[in-house]
This record gives sequence, C-alpha cells and structure tokens, in this order.
Amino acid sequence: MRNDFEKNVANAISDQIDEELVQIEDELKNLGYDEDFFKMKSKTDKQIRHHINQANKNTVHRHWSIARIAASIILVIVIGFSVPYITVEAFRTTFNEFIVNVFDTYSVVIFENDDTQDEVTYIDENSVYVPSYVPDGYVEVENNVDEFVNFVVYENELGYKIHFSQQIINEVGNFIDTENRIIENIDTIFGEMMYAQKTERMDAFVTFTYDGYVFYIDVDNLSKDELVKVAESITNEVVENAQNE
Amino acid sequence: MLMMFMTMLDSDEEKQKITTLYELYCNLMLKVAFSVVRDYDLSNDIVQDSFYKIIKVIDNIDDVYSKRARNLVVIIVKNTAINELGRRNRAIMLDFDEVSDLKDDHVEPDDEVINSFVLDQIPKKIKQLPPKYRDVLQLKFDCEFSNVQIAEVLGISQELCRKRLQRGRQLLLKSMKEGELM
Repeated sequence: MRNDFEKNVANAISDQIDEELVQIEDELKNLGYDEDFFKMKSKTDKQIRHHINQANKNTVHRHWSIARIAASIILVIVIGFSVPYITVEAFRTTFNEFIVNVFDTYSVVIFENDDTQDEVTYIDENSVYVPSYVPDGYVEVENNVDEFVNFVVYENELGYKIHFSQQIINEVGNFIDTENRIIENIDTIFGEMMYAQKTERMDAFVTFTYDGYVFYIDVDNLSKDELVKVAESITNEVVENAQNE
Repeated sequence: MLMMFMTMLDSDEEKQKITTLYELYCNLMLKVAFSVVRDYDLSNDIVQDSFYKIIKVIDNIDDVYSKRARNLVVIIVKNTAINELGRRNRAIMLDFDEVSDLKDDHVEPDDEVINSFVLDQIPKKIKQLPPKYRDVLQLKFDCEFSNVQIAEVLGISQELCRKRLQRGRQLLLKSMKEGELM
C-alpha cells in the first residue's frame, strides 16, 4: 500500500513526464519532423505483432499443459466409470474427439530440409528471390536483405500490403499463427503450399519451401487466386538473367 | 473443458491488452526513442526491444489507457534508448552510484518530514531530481514494481537499482527538509 509521500512523488513525476513529452513534441516539430515520420517500419511492426502472437501462444501452451493434465484425469475417471458400458470403438471415438479438441486450433508447422539437397545456411546476393508478379497498384515500399532473411513489402494506395519473406529453413520458428484461420493445402508449380485465411476477412498467407528456403507471403486484402499467383511468380533474378544470357 | 475455456479467455484478453498497448503507444515510443538517438532505424529497433520488455511486465498494467501505463512505456523506451546510445558511442559512462558507496546521511520519511507543507513541495523538488532517480521512483511508487522488475526493464543491475532507489529517496527528502528550513 502506498503512503502519501509515495503517492505524491508518483503524481509529481507523472506531471513531469507530461511536461517532457510536450517538450519532445515541440522540439521534433521545430526540427521539421511531422507525424507521418513517426510511423513504425513495416518490418519492425510485423515482427512485434508476431512476437505478441508468440508470447500469447506460449501462455496458452503453458495453461494448456495444466488443462491437459486436468482433462486427462477427468477423462480417465469418466472412462473408468464408463468402461463396463461402452465398447472399445466408442472409447476410441471419445478419446480421438478429446485429442482433436485440444489440438485443432493451434497448428505447428515444421519445415525440414530435403535430405537429398545440401543444407542452405545463408542468403546471399545470388540466392535472393522476389515475386515477379504483384497485382496492379502495388509498389515496393520496403526491401531488406540480410544473411538470414529477405523481406519485401508492397503497398497499394489504399494502404493494403503484401509482405514477402524468404528465410533459411533453420531460422524459421516452428509456430505459425493459424488461430481463427481456415487452413488448406494447395498444389502449385512449387509443390504443396499451405494456405491460411482469416475466417472473418481477406487476411491470408501462404507458406511453402523451395530451393532450400521457406517462403511466407502475407496479404491484407487479396483473393486466394491472386495470392497464389504472387507466390508462384517468385524468381531468382540472378539465375534467371544468367539463363537468358 | 470449462477450465480450458477460461484459460483461453484469459489469454485472449492478455493478447488484446498487449496489442492495444502497442497500437496506442508505438508512435509515442518512436518519438521518445528518436528524441534520444536521432536515428529512425535505430529508434525502430529500440521500440522493438522496449516492447519486449513491456510484454514481460504486462501483468502489472491493469489499464492500458491509464497514465500509469503511458508513464511506464515512456520510461522504458527512454532508458532503452539511453542505454543503446551509450553502448553505440562506446562511452565510458561511470555512474556515480556504481563507484561510490552511499553516505551515512540516510533520511527516512518520518512524521516530522511528511506534513502537508512538505507534500506540496514535492512537484518542485521532483523537477530538480536527476531523471535516473525519477524513473526508478516512478516504477517503484506508481507501478509498484519489484527491484528485480525495475532492473530488468531499465537494463541495470539489481544492486544499482537498489542504490538509485535509496539515493533518489534520500535526495528528495533531503532537499525537502532543506526547503522546509529555508
């Protein structure tokens, strides 16, 4: 419990922070920076939101482990009392339903290297892939390539974005957010892709592996056909140019 | 099943709280970070680091719209930016607290000191207090953080955190006592 002294100190510091924030605003304005300047970079924004999902998922999994133990105990008790009255088949059905209920919302996608292929350990200028097709109206607004990730953002004038990323398989976390999404495996020219769309809007992503990398394309508002078209258009321009020569 | 439902509800609320906090304060955080480091890319990195720190103490934030939440966000991002700037400039920043022991002029807030006249003086005295002491006092008194939490979000050792709390409190009380005598 805070005493009067502590409360007054806290209030005074809070007022001081108010003043400092006004000073910062004024200073930045005087230096010529407007509000538009202070928007997060798409890549950082995306990473933070991804982290929020992951942090939440960790909590859910921690809770679930307790829930699973409790549910298992209840299941054993119920089945213990029911065994004389149910068949083996009925028991199996009950058990399967229980497992499906626990696991169907949170998917874990594990990407594995192809054993027949040399493991790719980095991205260099010769191994950068980009989509050769993006829908009309979209322009590149951000492009970052480092050793482990190639990240490109396209945006149209309505503010809808396409986030494209190419990562090394080992660098990709196993968790992909599939919560409240309809999941579908689709056949494409690169083999099978995982397509996931939010149930309530046109927010979707596809992810797939090719040439030793994991590709992930996330869109705000694009039809499934268009998204697949973007995904199927990825090309390595260096290889493409060399072949053309 | 009820238990599973309840735990999921908690998580959804927590997720919503974190997301709201981020959306409310990301621009403010960017401004505060930029005002310290004057580099847009670096400011983005600082906001990201700061936000990860905030997620760790999200349980201490009841209302994301409160001043308490905003103050916490500002303090964390400002200190992360200052630490980062110091690290990048390779400045040898010898903190007075780290190289000296506390003097024996320990002052406790007793009844003599804490009267309404003295309480009225606090806002004026707070302005004179160096920011590093203000920040730990705010996290302690307003956010009610433990020393471990304060040390973690400010990127300092627990020992330094303890010393700053003690020295901040001492400085404040001492200056108020002096003010009272004047």
